Amino acid sequence: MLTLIHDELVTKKNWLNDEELLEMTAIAESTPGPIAINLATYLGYKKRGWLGSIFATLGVVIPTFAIMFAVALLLSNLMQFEAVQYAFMGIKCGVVFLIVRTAFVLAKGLKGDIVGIIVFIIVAILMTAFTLFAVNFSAIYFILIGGLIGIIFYALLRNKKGESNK
Amino acid sequence: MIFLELFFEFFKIGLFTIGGGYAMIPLIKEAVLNHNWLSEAEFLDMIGISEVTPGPIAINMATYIGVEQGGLFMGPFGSFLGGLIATFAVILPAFIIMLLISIILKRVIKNRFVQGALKGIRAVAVALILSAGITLLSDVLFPISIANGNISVSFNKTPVFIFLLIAFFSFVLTKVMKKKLQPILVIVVSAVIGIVINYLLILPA
Repeated sequence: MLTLIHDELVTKKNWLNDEELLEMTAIAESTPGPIAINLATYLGYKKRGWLGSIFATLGVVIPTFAIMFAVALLLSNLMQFEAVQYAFMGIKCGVVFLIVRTAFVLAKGLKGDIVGIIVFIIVAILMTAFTLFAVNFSAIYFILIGGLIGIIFYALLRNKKGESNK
Repeated sequence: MIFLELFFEFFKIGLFTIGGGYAMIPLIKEAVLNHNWLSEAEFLDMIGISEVTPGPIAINMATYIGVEQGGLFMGPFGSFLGGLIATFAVILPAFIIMLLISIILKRVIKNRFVQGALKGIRAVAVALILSAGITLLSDVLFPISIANGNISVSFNKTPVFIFLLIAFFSFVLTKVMKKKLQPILVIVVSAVIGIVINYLLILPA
């Protein structure tokens, strides 16, 4: 998706330069929600105020909405065909492959961050065990705890360390 | 009422998933399974469909589930309304927060505490994706069932074979041909492998 965004916004429309896109992507990645929505809202506002942000966001949503609406209506009919069922057996395997692979690719980004690695290992083990044993503990709590740990270890403690070095 | 449920669940998904993309999968999985909106197999099918259709996965999911559930509740009009509400709910947090950031709070994102929190959340998000991946992988390839303290593992031969072929394909593409792995290509190849393997395995019998 980002390649497409780059082609359209930087190369064709010239609404942004490379550096701005990089900065906006960083902001979009640190805010909740789909990145394309973050970018559309931000850029829409920058170009044409709040009305611009509404239209840019709608622009991203409408094609997806229309296509998924059609998929929802047609899928059960398609599923009656044997070949389609077999295709989806393959797709299921492909999807779990992609999810596991994405996790490993992202985990590499934690390299050198000891707190992050410890949090990562503990949460991965706990969440997997909870799912396996059907313990009801929402992933949202892990996210909130992660934020708290982040504030304590990356913001508060690092600051103290910085002061003692002086 | 289903429309309120849809709104509340997808608002939560939109609010608590930072980074978009696959980071949204663990929460979507939790929501759809808890509400029985999809079975685990259907959930995986939907991710596959979301990968080959345009747009962010979370929006694909929201629209699909909204349309399905709204339709069950109120027919065609309910479908449209449900799709609209779920889609609106999943983008609303992103929209509000980005609008605030554009207007006044650009500095907030660079704040030390915000950055610290985000770093902590990122580590958790990766762990949640891995955990979702492992549990789904196990369900597709070797389902584990726990009953009365007994753990038993079964083994799905065909999916394991398909999975190994996909892993081999990905290895050749990224390591031997040095190409980038596009999710849409993986899904299309997986579908083809699924069809070919199933017909090949059935024919000799």
